[in-house]
Amino acid sequence: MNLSSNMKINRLIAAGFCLAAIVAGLVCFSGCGKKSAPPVPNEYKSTSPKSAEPTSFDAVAKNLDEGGDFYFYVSTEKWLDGLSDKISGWHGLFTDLPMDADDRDALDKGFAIATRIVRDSGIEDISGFGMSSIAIDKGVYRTKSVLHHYPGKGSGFGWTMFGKAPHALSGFDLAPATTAIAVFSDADFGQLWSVVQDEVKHSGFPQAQQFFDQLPGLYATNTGLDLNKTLASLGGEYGVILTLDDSKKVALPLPTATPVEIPDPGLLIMIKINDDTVFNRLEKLMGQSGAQIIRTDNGDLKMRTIEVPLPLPIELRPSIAMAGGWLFIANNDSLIEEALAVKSGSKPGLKSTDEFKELSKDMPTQGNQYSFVSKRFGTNILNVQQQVMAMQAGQVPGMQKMMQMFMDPANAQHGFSVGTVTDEGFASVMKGNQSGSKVAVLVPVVVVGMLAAVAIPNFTKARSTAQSNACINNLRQIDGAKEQWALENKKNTGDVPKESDLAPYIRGGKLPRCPQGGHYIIGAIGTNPTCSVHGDLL
Amino acid sequence: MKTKRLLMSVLILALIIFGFVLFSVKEKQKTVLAAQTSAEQTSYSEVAQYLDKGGSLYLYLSTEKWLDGLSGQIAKWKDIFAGMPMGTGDRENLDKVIALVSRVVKDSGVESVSGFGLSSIAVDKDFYRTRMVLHHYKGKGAGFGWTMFGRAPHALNGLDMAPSTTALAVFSDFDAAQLWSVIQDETKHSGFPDADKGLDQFVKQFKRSSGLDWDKLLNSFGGEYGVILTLDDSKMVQLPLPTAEPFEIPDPGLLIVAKANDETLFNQLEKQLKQTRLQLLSVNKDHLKMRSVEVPVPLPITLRPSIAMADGYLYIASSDTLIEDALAVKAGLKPGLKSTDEFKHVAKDMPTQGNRYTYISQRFGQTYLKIQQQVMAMKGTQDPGVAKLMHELMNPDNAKYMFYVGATTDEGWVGIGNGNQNGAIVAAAVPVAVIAVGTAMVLPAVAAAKRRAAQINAMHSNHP
Repeated sequence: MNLSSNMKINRLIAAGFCLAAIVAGLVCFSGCGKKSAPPVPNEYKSTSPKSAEPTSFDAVAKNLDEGGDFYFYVSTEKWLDGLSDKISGWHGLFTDLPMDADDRDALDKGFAIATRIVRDSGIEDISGFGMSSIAIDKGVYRTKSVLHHYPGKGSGFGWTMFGKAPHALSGFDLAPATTAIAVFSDADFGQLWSVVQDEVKHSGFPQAQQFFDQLPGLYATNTGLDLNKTLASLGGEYGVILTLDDSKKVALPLPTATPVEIPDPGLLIMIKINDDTVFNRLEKLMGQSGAQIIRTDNGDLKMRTIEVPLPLPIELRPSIAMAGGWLFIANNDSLIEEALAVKSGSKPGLKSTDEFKELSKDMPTQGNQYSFVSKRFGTNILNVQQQVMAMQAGQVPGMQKMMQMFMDPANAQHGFSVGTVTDEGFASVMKGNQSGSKVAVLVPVVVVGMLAAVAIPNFTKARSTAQSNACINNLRQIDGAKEQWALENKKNTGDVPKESDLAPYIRGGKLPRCPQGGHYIIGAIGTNPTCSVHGDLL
Repeated sequence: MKTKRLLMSVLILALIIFGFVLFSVKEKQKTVLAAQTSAEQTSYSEVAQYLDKGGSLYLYLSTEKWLDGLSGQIAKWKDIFAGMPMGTGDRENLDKVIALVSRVVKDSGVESVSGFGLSSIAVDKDFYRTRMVLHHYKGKGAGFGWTMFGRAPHALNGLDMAPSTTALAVFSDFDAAQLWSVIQDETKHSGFPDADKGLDQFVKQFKRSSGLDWDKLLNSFGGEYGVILTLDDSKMVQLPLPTAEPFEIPDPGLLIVAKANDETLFNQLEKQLKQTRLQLLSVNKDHLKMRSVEVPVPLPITLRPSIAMADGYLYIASSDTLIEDALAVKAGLKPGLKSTDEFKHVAKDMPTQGNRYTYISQRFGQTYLKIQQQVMAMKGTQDPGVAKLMHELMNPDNAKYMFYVGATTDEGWVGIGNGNQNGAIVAAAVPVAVIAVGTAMVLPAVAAAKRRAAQINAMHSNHP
């Protein structure tokens, strides 16, 4: 009894579990199914076909963000593959054109160069371009772009000249906390020089060959340095940092009523170097200038500063320095000292600022190109603009309102970007307050706008010049007719002829008309006829 | 007992494992999603379901940020102009114009465009499928811009009557009565009394000159329109051009089709044909009413302008045989466009319902390019290089063909096109062409204006 009731209970429990399992399974399957199943099929919805022609879509897409406000991929294989052969093909189009032997020779060589450069650069290997933009937070966008080549295809100089393996973003380690803009990039000038030499050698233009043969000699006589030695001393990474020190405002010496104030600016150029060739040469040049030079030799640091005797609103003490494998050129020695202090950790730098921390969060820590633009940069430019605007009194109020809307310092852009050379091309990530869809739409608008801005005034100016000249011609005719009328009808100065009086003396028998729609005031004898639009042009 | 316990524990274990697997799957999904969620709403996933991934072109552009509240932005322009010095009349007109633009933008539904998508994929060698989407969120498509060009998708009836010689066929839904009521409505609210009066006068004028009530005419249209161009390769005709060699093209035919609710328009056209005093041939069969004009001059192409009314459609054609052909195809008595191999190929996997559809046969491009080549061949004195280039560009083998079907759905417009055009190349060619055309237009104009200025300057030697 006990046993059987126990069994019964067990059975019941087992049955209950089974039921629970089934129910749970059902709930889960239907529930999860609804979420993961494709939406109701419809004739217009994608059937996800496989492309019959190879494209790099998947390879590019893995580096992009889906679901944002902009997503773009275009395959370039069909146009770029075999581009160098196509260029040779265009050459064939010209072969039948009548031209003399010299021209033909130059044309042939020109085509040969273009074909070679296209092939050597690796442009033909570009398989696709992709770009995406997504809001990762309210008003914060991540824009990714990819220029893709298939693995094993990136040997063209275009792919390798701007860096090979990605490395730490070491330039930021030196950026002061007041940094407004910092841009760093790898570039191989030694490679550029050898590419130029190589292309020139194969170009078949003896003059060009001659010129480039002379170039190292010219360089040596002008700089006192060996070109190859200089190229070998460059470390392949370059950077520019602009600082704006908000704690120290300087007044710009502009001819305005109220002084325009900006934060004290500083400029620092950084070049990675392998030895002291360039530094020594610059030091020598400074010595030749005759200015007083302050020398600092402090362990690893070698610095030379020129004292500028003039009083300037901004601090200007041009300096060069060498430390930690970098060559520094700055408008000020304190800027170099600060950069080194930041690097050694004895002073907080850009990386310790809230703005940088926020922008660099979840961003790559290695790359070949990297840049940072602080919001303070845009804010300052817009502030100056507004100050200048405010001084231009007598402006149309509506216009002013519109300009103010455009130039609100609160809308200033900021961003942080890292570009990387990978085994499949270039990939870059940018984070900032700019959405990719806005940029994508703005670019063509700006291009068209600029074209229009160039073309329209040109056109209207030419047109109005032509029209006012035509008007002068008309006024002359009227003037001549007036004199003839006065002569034949014995009229005196002060008499006013009517339009019908003059008609017989004008070719065509009637008064000409101003091309811009003005009407002519004949006026009295002794005065010039005038146009209601152009006035007195005689 | 033991076995049962075992069973139970196995069951429990299974449940736990099941639950665990489920949770881990869910967890995984969550992390993947977390990496992709946009912090601002976009219509990406709604648009993406209508696009093909993995092809040569893929584009999505969210327009929410600029278009949402556009009418409000326009209304703000008023403030910008507010400070400008101008007369009160001008200001009043300006305010009215801004209000009008703002209203039209709001009523049209432009503001509810949430995104645009485009994709192109090779479904076969040199055969591409291009998809397009203009998206609005569900329940937001009330603007007249969304509804004027068709509401529910329907069968592609126009293709049922297209003859097998069809070179080009374009059909689209369009609600003329709605357009008229929108114009009336916007005019009434514009605050320009003259414009309102103008519309009234137009209606009266129309009635006076045609004897037809404007509203009755609008209501007689069935909301679907189409144009078919046929090229009959079996009947080559010679164009009477002053050229050395005769100029041959396939016999062309033009057929305009409009869905009609009644015979208002047909009767009107018949009345006007009668007024021309040309000889009219009348056909009155069960379902067909047709009137043809005999053209007394001998022409190389078949030309007997005709109008007809049959089965709820109004036909206007270059010849009565074309209308008869179309009706025979529709009745299944003759093979039509749909039976041709080219159409079958291009219509593969295409929707059978839509609001607008276009078919371009490769024969259309080929005929056009052949004419170009004949013209080129006659101009003997051309640079051989240029001739070669032109020849390459105008190779009839490269002629385009396509079939496009578009539909109005509850989330905007979607469209699919099949053809030998790679979307990536078109996408690249469009901006290049725009810039080239722009430059071509601007440069000569500037040069001409400058030349003219110089000429006039030369006329006045004593004026600088």
